[in-house]
Formats: sequence, structure tokens, C-alpha cells
Amino acid sequence: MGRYLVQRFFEGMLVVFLASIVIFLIIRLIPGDPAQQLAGEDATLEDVARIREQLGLNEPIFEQYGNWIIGFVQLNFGKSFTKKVPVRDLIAQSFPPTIELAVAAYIFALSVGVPLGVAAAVWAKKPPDYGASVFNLFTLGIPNFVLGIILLWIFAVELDLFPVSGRVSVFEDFAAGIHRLVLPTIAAGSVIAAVMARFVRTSVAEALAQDYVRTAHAKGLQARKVVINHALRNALIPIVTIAALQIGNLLAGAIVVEIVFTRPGFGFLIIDGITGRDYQLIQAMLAILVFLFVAANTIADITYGYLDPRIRVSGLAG
Amino acid sequence: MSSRSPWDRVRQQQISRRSLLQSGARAGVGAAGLALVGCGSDDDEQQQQEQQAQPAEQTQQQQQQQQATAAQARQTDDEIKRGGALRIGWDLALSGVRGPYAQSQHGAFHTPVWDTLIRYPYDSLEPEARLAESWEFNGDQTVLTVNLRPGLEFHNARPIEAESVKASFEAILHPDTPNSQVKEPLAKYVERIEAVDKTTLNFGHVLDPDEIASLEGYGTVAASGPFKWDPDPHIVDQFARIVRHENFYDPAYLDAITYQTFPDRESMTLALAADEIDLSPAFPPEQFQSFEQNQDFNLVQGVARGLWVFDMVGTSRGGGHPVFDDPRVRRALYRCIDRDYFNVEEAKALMVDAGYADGTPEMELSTWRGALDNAIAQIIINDALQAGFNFKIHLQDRPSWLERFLAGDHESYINTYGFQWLHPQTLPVMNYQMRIPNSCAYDTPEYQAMIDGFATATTESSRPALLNDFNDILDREPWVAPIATASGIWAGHQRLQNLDWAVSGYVPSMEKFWLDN
Repeated sequence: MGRYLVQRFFEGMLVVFLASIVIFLIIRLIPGDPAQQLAGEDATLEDVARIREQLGLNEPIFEQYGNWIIGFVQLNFGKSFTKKVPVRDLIAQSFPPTIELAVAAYIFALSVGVPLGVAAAVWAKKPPDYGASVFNLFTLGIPNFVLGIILLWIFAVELDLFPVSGRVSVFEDFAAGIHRLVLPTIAAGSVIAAVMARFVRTSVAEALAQDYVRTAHAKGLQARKVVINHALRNALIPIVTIAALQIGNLLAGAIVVEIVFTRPGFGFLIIDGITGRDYQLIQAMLAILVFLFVAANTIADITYGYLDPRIRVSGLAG
Repeated sequence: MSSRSPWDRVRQQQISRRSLLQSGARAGVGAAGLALVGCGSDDDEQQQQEQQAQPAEQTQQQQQQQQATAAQARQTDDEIKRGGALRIGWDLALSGVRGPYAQSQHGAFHTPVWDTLIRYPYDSLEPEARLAESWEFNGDQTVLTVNLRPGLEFHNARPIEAESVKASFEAILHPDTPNSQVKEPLAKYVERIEAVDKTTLNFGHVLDPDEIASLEGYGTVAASGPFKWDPDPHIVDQFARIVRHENFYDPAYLDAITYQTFPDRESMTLALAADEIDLSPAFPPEQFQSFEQNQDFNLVQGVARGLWVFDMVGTSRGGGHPVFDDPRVRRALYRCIDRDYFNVEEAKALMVDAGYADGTPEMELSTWRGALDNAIAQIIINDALQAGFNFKIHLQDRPSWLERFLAGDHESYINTYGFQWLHPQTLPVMNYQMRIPNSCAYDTPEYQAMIDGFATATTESSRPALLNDFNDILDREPWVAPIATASGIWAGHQRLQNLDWAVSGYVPSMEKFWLDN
């Protein structure tokens, strides 16, 4: 198992390293010069040249990358071009709200999607299945930012049950934090819940058709135990795969939803970074998001190993 | 308040180069003051000349009387409720504020934080006293002596003295400070800045020189206005708070003002509707009609900050489009845009004369997201199409647009001229878009001679003459066609009192805001 973990770790680091190169180059290919952005349209050419020099943009591209990646490894992401403060401070400020929302949305997605999928599989072609289909169509058909606006209009403006904007940390004031987290969580987690429900339904339905499930029923086990202990457990591997893959979507969704709900977080920073061509900020944030995604998938791979020893063995053999 | 949308009203306004100048006069501030220093009087209007001839004391008495009358008309002191925090929501990031060095659309923040020596009301060229108690020209009007109020202090309790005023202007002129609509006229018009005792020759925002470096990232801000920076709740570009500066010469009624940035303007509107914010100085025009009917809110269209213009770019410096090299084509397009001169038939005749009877080749009209409503651009190209112009809109994000703008790569574009700080006679100095290399290719020798002349004209008659030259050039060789004034909409809850431009100029005097809970 140790070799398996080490192998997965190094594969993950290789992906992050390659992604860092792509991120670094792509940002510089986008039209728009950060020095011009900072100088403004009243700037003279000398102003722009001086700012480029100050930002280190006249250095050779390899040197710029080398400086950045060395700093990145040391968690020194440089200073934001536009905000004039260390990127590390900005990320430290915005990371907790985004992770808070992502975790809440993930819990929501799993706690809604998995039971809904199981119910749809167990009661196929019956009202729970139809209900799940309606939920899936509704949530998959509406972009999360539109769903966010609809939720805000109904529950915050018309019914005055929730606030429109802002965030309170759940660690500072749990009740107030949750109160401000409910609508963003639904907006960010609904699509993932729908995707999960569909996969869980398919996976559990396949498992329910297996001989060992029939055998379990024949042994006289309770239907609930058959579903949970036999069908669902054996259906878990594809579910874990999908759950891990959805983390990328979840982060992207959380960032968009943050904008709609005016929650401080990565969403603010990424949009500001892109519109200001703030290379330091965008590079660091995208690299961190890649790292999170790779880490989540590595954890999923490790989880497979625990769920099914055959994967551990075949993974090492491959 | 009109029932029409603001864009409709803006579109109906008779906007022309002439009204551009008039609007500049109404809203003009800083550069006017700068132009008065070291270069002699520059007011061509009879009324202004008479005002300058008055003794400074008499002028000041009039100002004080006017201010007192206006204050009485607004509220009696007993009615005003002091305290409370005003919650502002907008779509701007504070790191974009260049307040101390240049003006920007962040007026609702930098105006209450950085005070000025004087301030112009929205409807007059007669300045109001702010940090400056009085001001006076010398005999030949080459030196303006400004007297500061006694006992002024920065937010960090350091005294505001002549030397600190001087130093703040030197910071604007520092080579590391990018060029701006403040820096260039300051450099061009002010020959020297001297601090004599408590008296100085200057104008504009006042910075504590020792704190200038720490403005970056808003670590600390030691400014001079009625509200001071509160670093504790600051979340970079997302949330900020300023609190009353108790030692300000005219203390604010409010305890504090908060600024919450809403990247999504729909959400900002919902927050206003849900009573989570009290005021938005960046209210979306498309929501105007729905809120106008709501008795809970006051909507006020702001003073014009500038003008949306259509710029035509020639090929003299390697960019642009050859069609615009012909002055007849430019005059024709001007007549399809400027409402004072709108005449499609005349435009058609000009186009036929220029050899475009069958229309022009396809030309690109560059605009950027967040710029003038795309519908306005569509109206323009539809009008121009009737005269034979074949435009295609190219919508870009701002950085991409700016890169091409500075490279002179646009064929034509829509942008704003910020003239809120202009006196009409300094307007030509501010026409950066004509003079940035390759942007508009407006670099005829006569134009440049006129620009240089503004900086060196020393008589009262020479400046109006130059202004006439400027008008003549624009008539003969239009490169810029005015579209509509650029002014924001301020939407405030009914409880917010004094949301009124009559209080002051470009931005309402926010120290006069109070909440009637």
C-alpha cells in the first residue's frame, strides 16, 4: 500500500507541475498587458515601460517561470499587481469562505444525491424515481448562477428568510454562518446532487440485478439491509469516481455562486485577477485549484484501493 | 423624475461638442484651479471676469451666505439625526482607486476620505471653500495664494500645513506616479509650488506625505476628509469601512460608511431591494424603471462625469482605417452621431463626394464590456448605415481593448472622455485620446501648437482665442463624435437624507448624509 500511495503522490505532483507550465504560458497569451492596465489609458509609453520593469515582466520568460515556481513551492506567490498586497495574504483571506461553501455544497450534494439515487433505483418507475427525474431535469437545466438569483429573489427578497449577501464564518458564529450558507449551498450543490443521483441510480440498479442480491433476498435479509449492505456497497466504486470528479465542478460552481451571493472568496479574486491581468494572482489561484483537484482525485484513487484490493494490486502491476 | 429610462433621456439630450464644453464648465473643477496658477486668468466669460475682479473677501462672504441659505433650506439642525452607518453597495474594487493621484469613478469613496482645498459645485464655476479658507490672486494674476483653515489635521492627527500640501502635489508629479488627468495639467500649468507660512499655491487632494507609500494595499490611509479609514474590517476589494473623523472642520453626521463590492450587479439590486444596503452609487440603468416606481427609494442621475464618444482612427501612424483619412468621411459620421448636427442626408452627400456612394468596406467598431450600453452602439451603427457606413461591433474585455487602444490598432472605438475636472478652456489639454500615440492620430501641427499654447498663454484674451481655434479644428477635422454624457445613477433608500447634487458637485457631500431611521 505504501508503494501505491507514493506512486499516486508523484503522479499527482507531475500533473500539478505540468499544469503550472500551461497556466503560466496561457495567461501570457491572453491579449492585454498588466502594465497597461495599471498605468491606465492616460499613461505615457514611458509609464508603461517603467511599470513593466517594476513588475519584472521584462525578464526572460524562463526566468519569470523559475522565480514563480520556486516561490510557489515556498508558498511565496509574490505580490498582486493590482491589489499591491502579497498574493498569499489574499488567498489566506479568500480560501476559507470558498472551502466552507465547497464543503457545505458537497455535503448537500451527497446527502441529497445519494439517497435520491438509491430511492430511484429501488423504486424504479415509481413516484420516487419520477421525483428524482424531475429534480434532475430542474437542476441540470438551470445554470447555478440563475438558480442563485431565483433563490435570492424568492427566499431573500420576497420571503425575507435569508440574507442576499455576505458571509459569516461558521467558526465565529455557527448559526449566522449557516444562515448565510443555506442558499449558496443549494445553488452550488444542486447540480452535483443531480449528477450524483443519476449515477447512484444506475449503479445501484445494476447491483440490485446481481445474483448476490437475489441470494441475499432469498436468505431472508431485510430489504433495507440488502440495499445498503450489499447493493450500495458494491456500487460505491463508480460513485466514488464520480464524486471525486465532481470536485472540480464543485469548486468552479462555488466560485460562480460566490459572485451571485456576494460571498468573499476565490470567485472575487479570480474575476478581479483576470480582468486586471494580474498574473501573480491568477497563476497562484489556478495552480492551487489544480492542486486541490489533483489531491481530491488522488484521495479517490486511494479510496478505491481500500474499497477494492484488486485495484491496489492492478494499479501497482500497471 | 422622468418616467423614461436614463438612457432614453441621455439619448434625447442635445449633446454636442458645444454642450461637451458647457458640461465641462458645470462640472469642472481641478484643472480650472490649476490653470489659474502661474498662468494668469483663463476665464473668458464676462461673469467670471467680474467675479475675479471682486475682492477675495467679498467673494468669500458671498460663498458663506450661499452656503448658509442652502443649509437652512435643507434641514434645521434639530431635524438631523446623527449617527448610524451608511451601507453602500457598488461594483467597484477599491484597489482601482487612484483618488489621491487622479480622479476616478470611485468618487463615493475618495471624496469622503480625501478632502480638497476647494471644490466646485455642480452648477457653477465659483469654488467653495474646503480645506482652503480663502484664496486670492496677486496683481497680475500669476500667483494664487491659498490660505488653509487653521487647526486642520490628518486622520493620524498630524497637522495639515502648507508644506504637507506642497508635498502631496509633489507626489502627484513624481516620476513613478503614472500620468493622469490631474498630473499632466498640473505639470503643464503649475510653474512652482511654494509653501509660505500657512499659505501655499496649490489645488486638489491633500495627502500626508509620509503615508503615501503605505496607500498601496490600504495598509494605512492618513487622509484629510470627513471620514477616516478603518483597517480592521477591510477585506481587500470586497469590503471596506470608513468612520467619522471627529476633528474634521465640519464633522459628518454619520458614524460610518461601509462599502461592499458586488461583482454581480443583479445581486446588488436585490440587496438594495432587501434593505441590506442603503445606497448604490453604481445603480444599473436597466433597473431604473422598476425602482423608480418604488416609493422606498430615491433615484438620482449623477452629474456628468464625462462623455461617451465615438473615435475615428486614421492611418497616419500605421493603425486605423484608411476610410477615416478623408475629412469628408469624418464629417459625415459626425452628422450621424452628434444630435446637434444630426443630418443623415447631408452625411450621405458627403459620403458620395468622398467616393463612398455604394458604402464603405466593413469597418470595426471596438467597444469593451462594461462600456456604453451595447444597444447605443447598435443605434449608432444603424444610423450610420443609412449614410453608407458599414460598421461591425467588436466587443472585447477591457484589457484587450486597452492594449489595442494604446497600440493605435482600433479602426474606430467607443470610449469616455473624463471631463469632470475640466474647465472648458483646459479641455484640449485633457484630450489624451487624441494625443496618445496612434490612438486617434490627431497630431496635426496646428493642433499641437494650440495645445502647447494653452500652457503658455499669459493673457486673458489668448486663451479664449485658443479655445476658438480648438472649436474650429473640431469643426473642420472631427475625429471624435460625442454620443452621450456619462453619469452614474445613485439609488438610495428613502431614509437616506441629502442624496442631492444641490448639496455639492460631482459627488454629494457625504458628510451631509444622515439616516432618518
